[in-house]
Amino acid sequence: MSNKATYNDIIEALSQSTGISKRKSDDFAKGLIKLVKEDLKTTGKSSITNFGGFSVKDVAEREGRNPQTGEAIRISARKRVSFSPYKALKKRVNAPYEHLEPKLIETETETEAGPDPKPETKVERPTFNPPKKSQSGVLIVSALIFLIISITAAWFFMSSDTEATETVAETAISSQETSQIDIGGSEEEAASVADSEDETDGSTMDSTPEAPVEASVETTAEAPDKTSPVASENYDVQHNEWFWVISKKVYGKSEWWPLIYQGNQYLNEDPDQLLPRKSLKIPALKGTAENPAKEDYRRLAIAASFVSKAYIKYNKPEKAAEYARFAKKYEKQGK
Amino acid sequence: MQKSEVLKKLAKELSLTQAETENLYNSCVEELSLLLADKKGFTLPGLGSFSVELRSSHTAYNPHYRKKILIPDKQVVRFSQSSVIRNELNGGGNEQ
Repeated sequence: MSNKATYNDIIEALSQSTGISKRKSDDFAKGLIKLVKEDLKTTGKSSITNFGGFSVKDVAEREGRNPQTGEAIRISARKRVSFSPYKALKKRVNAPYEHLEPKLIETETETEAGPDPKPETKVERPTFNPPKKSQSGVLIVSALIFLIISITAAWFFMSSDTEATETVAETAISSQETSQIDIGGSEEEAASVADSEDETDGSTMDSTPEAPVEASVETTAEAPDKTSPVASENYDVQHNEWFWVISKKVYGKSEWWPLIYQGNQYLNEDPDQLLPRKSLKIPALKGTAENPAKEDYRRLAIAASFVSKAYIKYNKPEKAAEYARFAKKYEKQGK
Repeated sequence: MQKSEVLKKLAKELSLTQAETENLYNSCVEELSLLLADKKGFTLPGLGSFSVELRSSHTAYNPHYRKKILIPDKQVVRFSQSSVIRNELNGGGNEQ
């Protein structure tokens, strides 16, 4: 078969690459195989360094069938050699598929969420218990609706159109309310971004045919005005510091650095790089780093997933996965 | 057995220097890895044959998150022992 290399091919290539005679190469390969076999027989274990390990495994007795006659036979217990490739070899063999990673199926998957930062997540403190579902989508939508409706309402008031004015004004108020509620609940939102996509679509369709681009622009512009109730201090970055170090300094625990990163998300940069920035916002914790409030965990969960996204953007899938895991963990702790 | 021991033994057996043996060893491993990375199988006589195959994507269950998880395609090395070593391990040519 063309898909197989013969032993001779291997020996030839070996002698060519080393410049040692074929005969010696052959002897070498045979000697190597012999040593592996000897090891297997005496200790039940062997390895070719940088290639893989062999081990002898016991296989229990089992029922089998003669493939020709279909007659049941007992296959006695026996020993079998198993091979497990070293990590480097595994990686090399899997190179064409390396970019693929296991994914959790359904709901939680961050389908699109987009690279653009969500400033709404900065806003904290759920004063009224918000409905848990479909928040983030509704937030964006309601912000958009609110904006459009308030404009139209204002316009209508100006032109003092009787009937239409009332209805529009009503809806304006109600949407304002919903948007406030959403702000309150915004911190759980980032976690359940994907959940709500569907519902969002339904509600958007009837009222707002506008492009979503406008929405995101508007919300980003608005969000800072709605000012978070959480106090944030400023911190002056010294030379060659990065988030981890700063977090250790201000919170006393380096694990909280995603909060800082997220709090300054407009930087939108590789989380690993050193910071040339002069001043950073440090979001205050509700509890302490040693004894965090549940809310802090929820925020940290959002921040961690934010960091994870940033890592994806900067092409570090491993770290992204790690922080996605952290996010899940913190989310649990926040409940 | 460690690589260094293997090298010592083989160098003695083949009357080559340690450096030459090491060179052989490294290129041998490199050679075999290259073949596998190239999706080419081969046989080491008396030991077994190696091949590469595609383990296609499938779903599994992650007990930690209590969710189904999609395992993507992966290429894996497949080893199948030679009948020689099987018989030797199982006490000489008892049945097929």
